[in-house]
Amino acid sequence: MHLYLPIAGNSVNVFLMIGLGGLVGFLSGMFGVGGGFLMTPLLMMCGIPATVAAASDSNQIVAASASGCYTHFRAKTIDFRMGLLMLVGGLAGGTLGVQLIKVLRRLGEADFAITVVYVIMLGGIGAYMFFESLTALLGNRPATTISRPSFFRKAVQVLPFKVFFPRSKVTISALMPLLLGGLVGTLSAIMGVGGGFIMVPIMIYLLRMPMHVVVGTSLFQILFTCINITVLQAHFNHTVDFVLALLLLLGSVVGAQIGIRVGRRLKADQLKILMSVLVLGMMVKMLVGLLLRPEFLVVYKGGH
Amino acid sequence: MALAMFACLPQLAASQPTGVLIVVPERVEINLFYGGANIEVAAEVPGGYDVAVRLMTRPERLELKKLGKKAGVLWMGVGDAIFENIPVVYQVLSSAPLENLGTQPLRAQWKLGYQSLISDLAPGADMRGELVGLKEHQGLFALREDALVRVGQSVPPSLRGTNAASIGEPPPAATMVQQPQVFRGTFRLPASAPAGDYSVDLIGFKNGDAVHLASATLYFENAGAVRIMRYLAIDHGLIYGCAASLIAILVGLLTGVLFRSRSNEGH
Repeated sequence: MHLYLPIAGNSVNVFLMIGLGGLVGFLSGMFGVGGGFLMTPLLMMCGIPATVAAASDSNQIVAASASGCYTHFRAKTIDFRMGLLMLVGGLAGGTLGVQLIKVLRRLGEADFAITVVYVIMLGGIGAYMFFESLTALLGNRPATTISRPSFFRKAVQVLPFKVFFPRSKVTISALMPLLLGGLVGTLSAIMGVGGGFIMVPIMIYLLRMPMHVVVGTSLFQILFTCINITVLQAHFNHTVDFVLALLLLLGSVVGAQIGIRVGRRLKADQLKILMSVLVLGMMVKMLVGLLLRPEFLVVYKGGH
Repeated sequence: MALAMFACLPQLAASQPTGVLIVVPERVEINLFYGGANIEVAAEVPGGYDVAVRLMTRPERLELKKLGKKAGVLWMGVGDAIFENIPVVYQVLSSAPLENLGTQPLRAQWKLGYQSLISDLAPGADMRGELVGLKEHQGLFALREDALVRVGQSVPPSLRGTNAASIGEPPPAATMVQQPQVFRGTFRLPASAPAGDYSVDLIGFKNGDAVHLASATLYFENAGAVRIMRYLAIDHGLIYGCAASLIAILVGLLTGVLFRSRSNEGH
């Protein structure tokens, strides 16, 4: 069965779209990522214009995040205080990131810089998470145990405005989530993604939050980020295709619930290693796309 | 002298070839269940002509991203590829290979063939092959030679009503005038062919010359929920975006309620 998408201007298989939504929703629920990095290229492969794919996917992420947030809220695994601080930082960082993009574009090397940053970030984060979690699993030692404070830890300790975050059970300067949220927002704006795959490792390794709180808090942030993106894209660019978003979200809200339940059955290190495999897989896919000659040497503009 | 000129005029008028072009359907409604369209064309043309039927949207400027190698290794965007006067949809059906239908300048005059659409001197000519490949992959561009099939000859007025005359049978040997011919073909348009007016032109080729025989207009219109959605998205984007977000939140929360687990929480 096919449906015509009024804004995308193309026809899609209903069950394929619901299935794609379910798959990406599953990843959202399991890892606390938005999934846009996966969904947008998949939609483009189905003939959806890049700009519509990116904008409509944000709407789908709103639904999956809302679904996940509700469950995490009931389970008391959202650190609202931490999440709000990171969100404020993220909004500021995103604004900065947009200005940086303008500068890079004027220099004429925006695409190259963005792509290199993206591949390095994905590779670095994925590799670190993978080896760190693998070491913890093989050594039968929790990865979060620190034998002695690092330089970073010592630097963080001297920051002012210390706050106790009861859900995460950490005491840390309020500047940390603000600054790190700003960093994520800047990188997200540059790379054109939601930032979940950057935010989750930052929460785990730099803010020292427990994994089950990381997923819920990350979804909380992504919810508001994607509401913002959906409204802005609809208002300024008219690129949100609600029929497409509806098909995707019907699958993703269910997928998110299943992902949450599967994630709960896994240990924190198992979850981290699986996420690292996903991130490394993305990096490999992106690298292969950059190294192999594309099918056509002209493409439509837009997208992430 | 003046009388002789007048005597010639009716003959000149009679010698200007014309044809008949029928397009079915003439109007296509794009609704929620639209999945592309097959457009049947039938053309009646004077005898002895080879024909081409061209379907296209209004030409416009097209800006694409050009891909090339950066640092000798990475394939990525290296600039813009700009094309002028390119239709979104361009398809040609012909009764013979295009190269047999006349010289390239003649075909260029009628925009038949990709080299006629983007000449060698036009902007973006170096990326013509890539653009055509992309558009053909999407089903928006197509050149289908020999796709116009002659289904027979029209019955001439002088022979209509007689048992001996029927479509397909060769005319009597005594008949010196070539009978009009009927050609049929089908345009296949994908779902991504946009709403708007499409011009359909019938061009005849004979003895190294080309003549415009007939034309028609094909109308693609948004209908029903598609039209409503587009109106809301384009003219009321803010409300549309807020409503989309609200619906997404509600569906997400509802699903969370339905899946509410009573098992123990946490890792």
